[in-house]
Amino acid sequence: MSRRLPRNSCATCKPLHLLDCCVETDNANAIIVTTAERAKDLKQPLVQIRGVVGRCSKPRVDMHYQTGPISTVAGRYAREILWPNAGVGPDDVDLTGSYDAFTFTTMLQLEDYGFCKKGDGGHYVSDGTIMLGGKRPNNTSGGHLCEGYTHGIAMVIENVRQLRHDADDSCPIGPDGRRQHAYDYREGGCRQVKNAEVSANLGWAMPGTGSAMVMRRG
Amino acid sequence: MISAQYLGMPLEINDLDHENLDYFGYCAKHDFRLQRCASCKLLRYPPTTACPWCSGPDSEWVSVEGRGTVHSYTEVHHAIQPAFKQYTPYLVLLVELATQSGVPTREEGLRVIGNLVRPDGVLAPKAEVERVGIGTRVRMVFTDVAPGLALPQWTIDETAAGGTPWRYRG
Repeated sequence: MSRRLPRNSCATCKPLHLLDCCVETDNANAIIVTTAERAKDLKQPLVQIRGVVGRCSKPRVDMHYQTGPISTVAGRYAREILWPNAGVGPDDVDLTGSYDAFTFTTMLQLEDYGFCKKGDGGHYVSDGTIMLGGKRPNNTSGGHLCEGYTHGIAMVIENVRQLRHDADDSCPIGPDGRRQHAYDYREGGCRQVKNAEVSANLGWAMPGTGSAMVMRRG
Repeated sequence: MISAQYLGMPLEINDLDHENLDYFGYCAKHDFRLQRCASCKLLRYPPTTACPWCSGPDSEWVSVEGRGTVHSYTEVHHAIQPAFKQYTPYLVLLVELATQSGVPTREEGLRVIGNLVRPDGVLAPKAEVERVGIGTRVRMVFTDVAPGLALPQWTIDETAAGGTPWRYRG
């Protein structure tokens, strides 16, 4: 999806246009979590949960519209738990998965978790940083806007694939049963982020409440 | 209990919802009142059982001037409720009251949600919608829904001086 596409679609609730809003989808996702010790015996490469923040809320969350700048969301507070728990910061993250129920939720989260300065989210998502081949790709399987509305879980699954270096794209499968990624990011090509080691998932319940998780390969 | 129909939608305030029964009870008399904490004396919105600033349980309802400035808004073009379609585009306004603006901190205020309406309480026509944006000065009027129920809404304050409001141009 290009930056221009949403603005050229019909207005639903300005400033949002039709393609600023995600696709409502019937779907199911599952994630299996086990101990690191048990996971070593499994056939897939290990992906570890390095830090989480669960359902963190702004102060006086029921009064989101009354307290503080309304553009400050839960991530501003969740980041103070997430990054110390994970032992890394935004600069260490190779790819993100953000809850894009609407285009604006991604920008507010990327700002408040510290990937860019407050107010620079628009530039961050349109200067190539979040594209495949960019500095820190975001929602590489399409996210809610382009893949389907899975309430954040499909982005966790995608980041596990990415950290296993096993994105299920159109690259050929080699004799060892693993995909031979070409890192050619033209449309319909490779989707694997090169040397992905650390990912961050940014979840959104509502502006004042959110969860997040950092995962690391190996 | 308050129960009524508004533009094809059922509105109901339960007997257990004491604060909203009181709030809308005053609105029905076209009297805009908010709770003032007995301990810290701060007003609050929306109606709640305890003070969000000091947790004090006691409060009194005091009349507040229904004037303020549009803090943010959305302009609805795709109405979900069939009865709202005839009024599109209509505005949902977040209005910061002049009373207690910037208190207790610079970033806080009493921000009251309502639609932009004509002075008689009917949703405003497109020509008025297009005059309003962030910074527009507005005053409260009431939309009578049923005996015992009126909704606090906003209309352009034609008497207030103001600069050019900010509007989304897309």
